[in-house]
Amino acid sequence: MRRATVAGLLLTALAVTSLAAQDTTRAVLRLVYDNPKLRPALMVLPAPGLDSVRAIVERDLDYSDRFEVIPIPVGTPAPSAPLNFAPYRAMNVALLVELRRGGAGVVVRLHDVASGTLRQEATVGVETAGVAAGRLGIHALADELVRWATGLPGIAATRILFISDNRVWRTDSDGYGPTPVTPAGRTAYSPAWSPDGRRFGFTEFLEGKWQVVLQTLATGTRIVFPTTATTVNITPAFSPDGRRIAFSRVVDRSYSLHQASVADLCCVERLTAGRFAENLSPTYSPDGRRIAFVTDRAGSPQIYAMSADGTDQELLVPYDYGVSGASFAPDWSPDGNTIVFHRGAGGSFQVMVFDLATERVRQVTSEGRNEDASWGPDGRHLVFVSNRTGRGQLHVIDLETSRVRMIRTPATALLPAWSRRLGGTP
Amino acid sequence: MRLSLFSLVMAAAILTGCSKKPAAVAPTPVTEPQPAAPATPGSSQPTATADRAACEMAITTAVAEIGRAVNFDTDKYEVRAEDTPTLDSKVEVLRTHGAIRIRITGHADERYTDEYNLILGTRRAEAVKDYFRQKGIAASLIETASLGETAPLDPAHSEEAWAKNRRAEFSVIAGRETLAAQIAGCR
Repeated sequence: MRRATVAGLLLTALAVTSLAAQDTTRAVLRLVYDNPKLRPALMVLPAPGLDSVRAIVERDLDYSDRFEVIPIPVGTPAPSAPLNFAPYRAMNVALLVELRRGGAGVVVRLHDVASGTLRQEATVGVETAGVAAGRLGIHALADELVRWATGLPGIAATRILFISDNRVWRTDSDGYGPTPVTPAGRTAYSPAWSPDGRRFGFTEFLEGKWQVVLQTLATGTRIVFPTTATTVNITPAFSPDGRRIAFSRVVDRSYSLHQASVADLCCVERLTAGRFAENLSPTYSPDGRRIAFVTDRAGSPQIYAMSADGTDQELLVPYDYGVSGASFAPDWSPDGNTIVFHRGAGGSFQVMVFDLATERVRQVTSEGRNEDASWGPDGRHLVFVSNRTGRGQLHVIDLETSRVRMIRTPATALLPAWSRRLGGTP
Repeated sequence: MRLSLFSLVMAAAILTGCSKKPAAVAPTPVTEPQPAAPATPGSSQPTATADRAACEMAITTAVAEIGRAVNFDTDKYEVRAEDTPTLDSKVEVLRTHGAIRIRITGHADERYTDEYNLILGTRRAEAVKDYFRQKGIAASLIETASLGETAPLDPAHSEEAWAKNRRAEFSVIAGRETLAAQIAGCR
């Protein structure tokens, strides 16, 4: 039974019993949207001449996991003007998306089926041929629709960096167009987005050293971060304002955390001290004030946190000494409330989410080996690597509904990083 | 002409670290000590050819000894007892040809988590370097590096492949010209 049926019945019942349907319906719809288990049924109407745009928008709305997206039944005619809502009410659909050519681009309309009203419309100038450059614009359109319907923008206009064949690759978050962005013949690792979405950092192995490289996506221009060509530097991460970069660097044979100024391309300062512990994988809190990281100073690698100046270092994610597996690859959530990481469990690795307020650890994967999760900008989707299909591939999970989808890549994929919202410009 | 071609071939062999056994000549780990220095070209004609062959063989062997990898147990970075003869042969070569600098690159199998395997590779390389230093080789002659799990010898997902991939590899990063000159000195 479709979840939409419950919502639909609820809406229909209210529409019948209340003449002043507008306010009540809105209140009910908000109730429905807030409960992830009761998602409004949504349909994207046929859009003659805009089939590829329609397909992309429909998929984006489905991937937002906030709607029960109903595929168009075969034989559904193009929508008439004005829209006839009756058949959609009969199908318990709550929302209709209408796309038409018009004006300077595409006219987008979101309709409330129960009240039979237009909720919102806009004309968006997108490249309608659906070519690569135009896809981000279409994704941004879908993200706006999500915001109209739920109050929060979608995350379709985002990209994911990952490693495959020792190169950094980029893919749209719907899995379209995986493309290498660093050259073959070198070894690249640990990609990290600059928050402005225009550049990324990564480490590259050259003449026995891992150095930090900053690369601009649009131009391919690279800068080797000064002073990182002379020793081993791994696991870079940008601060949320993009002005600093943290990474692990070998000093006296041990890996210790350092921070440098991206803005000025200099000024490496050491954050962790001590010779016989390894420290790596820093991640900044969204306010930039703290850094969570991995350290084995107490024996097994676990997640600690410190102030961004290196003071107040303490255990962050609790564990049972001698029982819990080692913990790796923390990523601080966009709202600052949780940390995702992976931990050894049952002879494999599983993705875990730690809640800072309750101090509880929740396991969110169980099938296969799962690791290296990165938050989507809505704080409810994660991209991670799983070998549940036989080889390491990117998967996306929605923590609210537990829905998992796979992103297909040509070869084994590792170490994904999800960008912030990129807007409509490629 | 012939001389420099030979040196070029040897230099190439040194560069690749001879991790694959060279065709006919490579012995199993030698227990007898290597000659202390290549024989200077003798003036007596009848044995010149034999001396030269022995000299070139000695250097070929030395290069092969440098290049041979050593392996490690799962999740461990300690030098294994069974690898000490191999390492001792390398120590001898380093002592004999004092101008060589080498890089030890540590590797891991695919099973542990990606980024932390970089650290395991570093630990393995450093453990071998410590062994060399204990035997009196100067730290300045040895560089360490780690490729973690990024460069497996065998990409299969089997115990056999993993055992091969847990290794330290050795390459000569400086002093190749000295070796070439020593080979030239065999003439």
